[in-house]
Amino acid sequence: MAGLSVVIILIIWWFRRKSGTPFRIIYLPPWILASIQKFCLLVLAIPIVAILSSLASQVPFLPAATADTVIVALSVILSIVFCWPVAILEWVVVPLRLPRVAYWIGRLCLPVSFAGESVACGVIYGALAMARQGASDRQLDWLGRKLYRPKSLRGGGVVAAGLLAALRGDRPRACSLMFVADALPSQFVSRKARAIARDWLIVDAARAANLREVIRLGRRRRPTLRWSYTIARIAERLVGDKQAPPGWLLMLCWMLSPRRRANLPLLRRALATPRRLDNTIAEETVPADLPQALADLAKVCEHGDGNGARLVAAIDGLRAALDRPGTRDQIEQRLAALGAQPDADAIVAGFRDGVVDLVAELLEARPSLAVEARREPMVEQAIARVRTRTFRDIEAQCKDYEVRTKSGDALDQIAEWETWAMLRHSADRLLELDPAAEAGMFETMWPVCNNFAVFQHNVCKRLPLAYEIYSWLHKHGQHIPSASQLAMKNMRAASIK
Amino acid sequence: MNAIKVRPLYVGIDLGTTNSTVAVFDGHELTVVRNGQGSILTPSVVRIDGRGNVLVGARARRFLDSDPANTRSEFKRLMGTAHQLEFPASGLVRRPEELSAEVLKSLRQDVADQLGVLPERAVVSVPALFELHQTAAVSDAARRAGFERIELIQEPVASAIAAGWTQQGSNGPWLVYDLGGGTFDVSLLDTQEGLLRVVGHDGDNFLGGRDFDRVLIDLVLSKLTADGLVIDRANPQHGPALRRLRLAAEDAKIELTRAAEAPIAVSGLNLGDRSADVDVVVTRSEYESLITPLIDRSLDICTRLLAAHGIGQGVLERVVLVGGPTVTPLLRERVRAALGAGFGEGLDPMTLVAQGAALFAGTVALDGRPVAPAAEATGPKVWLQFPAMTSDLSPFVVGKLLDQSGTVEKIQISRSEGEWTSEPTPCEADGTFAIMVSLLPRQSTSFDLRGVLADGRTIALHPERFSITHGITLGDPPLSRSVGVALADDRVQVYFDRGSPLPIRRTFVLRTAEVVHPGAEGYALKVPIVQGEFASAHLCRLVGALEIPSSALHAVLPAGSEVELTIELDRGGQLRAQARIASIDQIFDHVALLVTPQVSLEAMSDALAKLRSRAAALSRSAFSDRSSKTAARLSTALPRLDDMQRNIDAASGGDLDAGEQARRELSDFDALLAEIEADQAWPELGKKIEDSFAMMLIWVAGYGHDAEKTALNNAYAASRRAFVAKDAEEVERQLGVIRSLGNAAYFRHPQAWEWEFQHRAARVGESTDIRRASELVASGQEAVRQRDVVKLEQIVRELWRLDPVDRHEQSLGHGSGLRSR
Amino acid sequence: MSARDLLADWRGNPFFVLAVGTDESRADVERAGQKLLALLAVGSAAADHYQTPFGPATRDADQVRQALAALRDPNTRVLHELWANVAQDGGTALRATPVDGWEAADRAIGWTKPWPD
Repeated sequence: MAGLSVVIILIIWWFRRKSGTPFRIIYLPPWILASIQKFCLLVLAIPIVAILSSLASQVPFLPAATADTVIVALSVILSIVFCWPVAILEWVVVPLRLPRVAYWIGRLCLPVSFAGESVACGVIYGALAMARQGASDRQLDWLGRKLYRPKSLRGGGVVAAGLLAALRGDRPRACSLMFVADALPSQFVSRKARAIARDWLIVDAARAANLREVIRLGRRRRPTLRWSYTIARIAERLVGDKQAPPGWLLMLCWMLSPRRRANLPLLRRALATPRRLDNTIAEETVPADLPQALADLAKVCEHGDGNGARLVAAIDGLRAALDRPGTRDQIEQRLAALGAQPDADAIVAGFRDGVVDLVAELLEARPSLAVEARREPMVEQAIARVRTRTFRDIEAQCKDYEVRTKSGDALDQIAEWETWAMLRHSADRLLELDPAAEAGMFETMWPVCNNFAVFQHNVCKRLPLAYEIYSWLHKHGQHIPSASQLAMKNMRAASIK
Repeated sequence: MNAIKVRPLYVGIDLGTTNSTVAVFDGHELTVVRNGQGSILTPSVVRIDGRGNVLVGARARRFLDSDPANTRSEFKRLMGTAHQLEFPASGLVRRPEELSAEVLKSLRQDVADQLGVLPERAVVSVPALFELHQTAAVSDAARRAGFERIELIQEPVASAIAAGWTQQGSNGPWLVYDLGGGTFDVSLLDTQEGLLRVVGHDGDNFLGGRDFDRVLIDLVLSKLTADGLVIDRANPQHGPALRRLRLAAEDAKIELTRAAEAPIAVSGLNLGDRSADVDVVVTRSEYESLITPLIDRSLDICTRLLAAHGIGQGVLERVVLVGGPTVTPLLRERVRAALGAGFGEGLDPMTLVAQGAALFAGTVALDGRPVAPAAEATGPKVWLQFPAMTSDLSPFVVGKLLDQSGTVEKIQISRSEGEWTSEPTPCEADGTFAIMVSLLPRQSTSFDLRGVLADGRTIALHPERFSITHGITLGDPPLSRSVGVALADDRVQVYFDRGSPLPIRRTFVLRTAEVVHPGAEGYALKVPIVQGEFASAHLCRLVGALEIPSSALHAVLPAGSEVELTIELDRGGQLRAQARIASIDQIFDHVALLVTPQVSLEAMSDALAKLRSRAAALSRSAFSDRSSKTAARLSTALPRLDDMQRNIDAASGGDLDAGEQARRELSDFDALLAEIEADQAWPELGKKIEDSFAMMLIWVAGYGHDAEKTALNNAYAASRRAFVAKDAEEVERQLGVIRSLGNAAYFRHPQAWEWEFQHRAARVGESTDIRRASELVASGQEAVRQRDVVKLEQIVRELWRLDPVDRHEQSLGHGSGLRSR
Repeated sequence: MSARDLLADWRGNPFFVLAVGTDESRADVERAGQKLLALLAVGSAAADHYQTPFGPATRDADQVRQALAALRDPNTRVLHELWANVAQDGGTALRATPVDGWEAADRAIGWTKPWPD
């Protein structure tokens, strides 16, 4: 039996080294491979434990029964850890704040949930342990170095890089990496890793009171994950979304979700919020004067829960107040009193500019507001400003890709994932802000990103990254069938199936 | 036993191009200091003789004629440049700031001789439009002269303070017209209720009395040429002769303010191979006709400044004239007529700047006296803050009780001469207090500071006494030109707008434009700091650079890495910058403050030729497009090309100053042409949209899918919208979409790849790898013969990859490694 | 960018920084600024915080100087007056009341370290 286990392990090891080349006999999902490996290792462990037990019984001054008990106990503990490493990590090691122990358990115990990405698993749980205790720079560096070990990083590695970026305080980078990890296809990211990424994004949005984003993340993304789904449904109730569930459904979701105790205060808030059965969105009244309109605009900026109608109402109020003749007269009187030339138009234009700037900042933080708030001219101007800035970002990043592709200059894979994550995040936000910009954005990104992905695929052998870039290009290149077809062809070549 | 209060010594220095002055203010009255020769004006001339002795002022000026090689004047305009001035007799070489330091040292000694105190601190004036490296050079000169601390003040602000001090009570906008030896500054000021504020600046760093001399010399040279004696500016051998003529012209210029004509007689002019005598007569009318365009140039600048701030005709309260050349009768007449305002009376244009600088020293409490050893504290110590001078009759005096043992509960302030006492004011928990005091109008008021104990007794505090002068309140001096960071795409991230008060500090988060590897040779990341109002970085002046060496980086910096850049600017023109890169947790802060680069004469002539051809091309297209506005702008600007040529010629004859002027003018003209080209290009862009759409529509209609047809129409509509909104970037983007849709459809034509191949094959010489391109062309021709479209497509794509990358844009941004967020 | 940063510039309105009303005279504004600069110079504990309609904020001498300069120019002063006059009654014309976020969300996933901003 032990001999058979060794043979099976060797076959699996050889098979995994060969994966990714044209030499594919059969495809087995990584979790099956990992399970078989674990089973074989456990079987291999039995004779080893027996040998250790007999050796221990020969140790002088140590009673045989005691030695046996110790060996058996250790074996049982190690077996449990080996069989259910993720559970042990989540329930024992991480709450005990032991990042190094977490790393080694994840690395050595071949977790099925992170099949093929044991290093990434170790780094993820090490990072989560550090998030509980507060990490020093040295510890972060130690953990970060571990992520350079694997030849090719997949979804788990991206999540790990995102957590490390978050621990360093680099929120934009962390967000971008988590978004990319959450959007990867199932063959490149495990369900567990995706859940960690999506949960992090949900927390980030919920803390910023961006409940619409919470809903989008939890409800409208596939596959559905328990905790994020529950929080999304609670958020629907809190903002009065037309699809908000009744109380019993909320309770049911809560009971089926993890972290029930932590979710309870939020659930109570949701249950205390009446469910709005009227599907129409109430028309907001236009504020009576400029000070009131400014107060409303400030509230929208402060409590950005993603309601475009509120933004439009506030801007409408400002515009109406500015257009009133009395406002201009007041401004001219003030200028005259201060001894300046009575040019009210310049002041009003300056004020409008300031409003557009503020709205642009708001839209940059919450691009989804743009779609609902489009009809207002000042909002349109703000959208144009954000669009220009985002396009410049995208163009600059594409230029970097172009130069590096031509010179064959590849960064380490973490940096490459980070660069792609930032670029993709900029592009996704641009599309959220202005869906009509898709053609222009694709035109800017297509040749450069495609060539870059080919470079990563052929030269650097980073299939998951290449596949992710091709699939994104394929999704957004539908209006140019030839481009879309080429992207699909490349996706098949990069697929590990 | 109150000690007799020694009056403070506030020192102000006007470091002029031709003459320098020093004035002192003791809190009550202003005094202009006389030098060793008894004059209030010290010529800004330095001589170094064969033994290395340094002479400054009138004693040096005597040698300008006889020993010009070792006697230097008018080096103010060269401050901040890399020029080295040679003194052959002693074999020494000096930079302009070192010579200015000699002048400052001499003025400092004059104060010591007249008032018995060698000042440690002073305020020194600089022209308003001096750039950062020039103001830094002045600070450097003052330090070399032995001053422990100086503050800089802009000349028009100094004049304004002096004028405001003498004419308090009036409200409204007024102008300071400062025409010095080398620079022209005009400042628009506003006084309201004693608050003096600089509204705006304008000027010309290369317009001054020296130019009046130049046109006079040109007249003399033309008269001499008519008489058969040719003296050539471009000939270095005629340099000494020209200098002597210039001195004679200066005297004639002064004579012409009184008389209808003046002789210019110089004998024994050394022309290299021979000697000549000059005796010509210049009439006032001839002179006035020559200087009228210069005066009008200054008036145009005034009008521009007034228009920029919406000040119409007849609104100005008054005009204050500053500088020697303003005594010219024609100038005064034309200024009065053009600006429609009277002149400030009782103001000496030659010493106003120095007086204002001394008053400014008073407002910032910059006492020039050496710090006396601290007197024995008589009571609990208090840290006091109060304005040394203010227009507010009821300012606050703020302080903090340093000894908080609890004995002193309240603070009381009273006038030393009585008549007013404050209510006893309790201190806050941290020992601070703020008491409003009452000043006597238009004089200095002395106050006593006393502490009130719990039992009601009062005790003296330390300091026992202080004084506040009622006068003017001055707003912080404004920055004369916007300062920002040049970005890799030739744009500017503006940090400080023109008019921002100094000192000032701002932080922006930028991103790296390309990947930066540690350990690479040379500097890894350059952050160029520029000054100017242009949106294009290459048109702005490079004044400093924060350079991050690759050896200092610990890790690779991918493109898009965040760089938190803080820039700080103080009143003295000192620039500090700090870059923090969070992702690698490093901070860099060494700023190389650049001197203006020395551009060779050949490069300048080359640049001038290019500008001429650009201007000619613009004129032609303006004519063919019947664009009268463009044609008018060009016609007013074209004569400047001749001025530039003259300056370049003078520079080749050894006139360094003319060289600097030419360099500046070339840059400004480049910017003007860029602006005109941008204006002209706009309607062209509209035409480009229509042409592109029409051309691509043919292909998409014939070979495109429905999705592509819809996308093409959407892109066309978006480009039109962007054109109306004047968003050039968005127009170019949509044009790109139109082109790519058209190309996608075009390449579905059966012969499209063959046509493209033939087109590329004809341009194989432009490839980055010509050998490889030639091999591909040979394979391509084989594929054409075999009608192998798939192989032909591969070959064409490879040929595309051999096209050169465009590095031109990054060089325009001064090699910047940053882009905006 | 977190929503909390959006009002940073607005909180820096010169009238808020100097704690003066929009109808105060030039002289009063200058006096208030001069007093604040002096208090900050002596390190007064109370001087480096100020109230705005959107909560408290901190200031330093640089900001006070910038605020004074902004209010000296009549055009910029009138512009800042428009921005400073925010209705303070706490009510709003908007029907929908804003929904608070979930501050403790990070604890739910076991994240006790400060959340990155």
